[in-house]
Amino acid sequence: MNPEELKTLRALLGEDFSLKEIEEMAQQDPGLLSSASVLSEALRIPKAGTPPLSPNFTAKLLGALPMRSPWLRGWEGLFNWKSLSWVGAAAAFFGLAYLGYQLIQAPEPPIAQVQEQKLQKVHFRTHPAQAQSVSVAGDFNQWVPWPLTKQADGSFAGEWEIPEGSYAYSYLLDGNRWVPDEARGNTIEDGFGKKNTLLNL
Amino acid sequence: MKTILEPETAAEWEWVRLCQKGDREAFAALVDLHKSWIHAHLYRWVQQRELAEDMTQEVFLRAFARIKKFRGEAKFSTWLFQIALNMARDHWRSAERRKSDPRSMEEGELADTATPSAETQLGEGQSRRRVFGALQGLPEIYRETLMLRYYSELSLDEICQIQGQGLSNVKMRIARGLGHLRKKMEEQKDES
Repeated sequence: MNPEELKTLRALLGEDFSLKEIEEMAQQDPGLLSSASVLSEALRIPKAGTPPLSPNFTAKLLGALPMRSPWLRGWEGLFNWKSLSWVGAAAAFFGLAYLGYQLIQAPEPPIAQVQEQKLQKVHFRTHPAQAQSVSVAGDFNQWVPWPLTKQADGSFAGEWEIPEGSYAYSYLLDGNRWVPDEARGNTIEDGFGKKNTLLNL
Repeated sequence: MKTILEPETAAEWEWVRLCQKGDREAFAALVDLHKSWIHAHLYRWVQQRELAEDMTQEVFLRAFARIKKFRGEAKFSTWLFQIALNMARDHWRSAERRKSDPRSMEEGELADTATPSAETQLGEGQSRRRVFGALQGLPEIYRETLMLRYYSELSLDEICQIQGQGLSNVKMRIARGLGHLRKKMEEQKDES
């Protein structure tokens, strides 16, 4: 085998082919060895081989893209994240605007409510004749009963901090009987035929 | 020339993702990134300027139409390259059916690719046209493998990936393809 031709064939095939593989190829097809230089020259790609694309290639291509139907665009637009974020932003804007309007329209709270109210410790104590449980409910706790604790002497007692003010209240015995606080006196009519105790703090 | 094994950038993945949602600006960015090298491969495979540009456009139109099906199993550039190669295969087959003679290619089609002197330019142009014509007459599998190896300058690994073949098969195709090409060129020489 001509070493020069072998070298040319090896250059044509590249380093991925081993010398053994190239020699076998040359033995099977001796003409390949002799024409290696012609093939190398013919298959060589000139460095400046590709003409440029038209300058407006991308613009032309975008113009050739199929148009989507308005229906599809609308449907897709409704459910893509970009649109949803705009919808969210719009909803937030109108929500805030509504809240602002409500605040402007709402009557100003009385100054007494706005001012910080002082708390007074109030002790409740009662000793009903017959009761298994006693709670206290009034204007200060929106008539949600607070349970009193049974004491060793059989009485029921409890202590809470209540903002200064004037409140009506009663004791609730066994969850079904309302009685005023006789120890404190100072009762007022509740408008339903019963009496409540008036607490002034 | 860009190789198909080059990794994508994060921006490219983002463009692909946006493009799958129908974002045309992202698609334009992908086109700008890939058009030159896709066109370069197509031009080398068909060696006709206008046809290569038309085919490049068609590659991207097909990519846009199918991009929702792209799941990222292969690199985006490999996926584009496959679309381009499929188009070239169609072209080669139809050219074969028409029994078109590549020597009848428009004069000057290859001349603009040439090297310094006019004489060398003419000589190289004729030589390349001759070998290109011979390649067209090869069995499909050898023609494609030689095109990928010598015109697209792909590595053997890349050819294995594109053709889904093992290294020994690809080597065998190149060796036999070169043998066929040599015989074809000799036939052409005898005819002329």
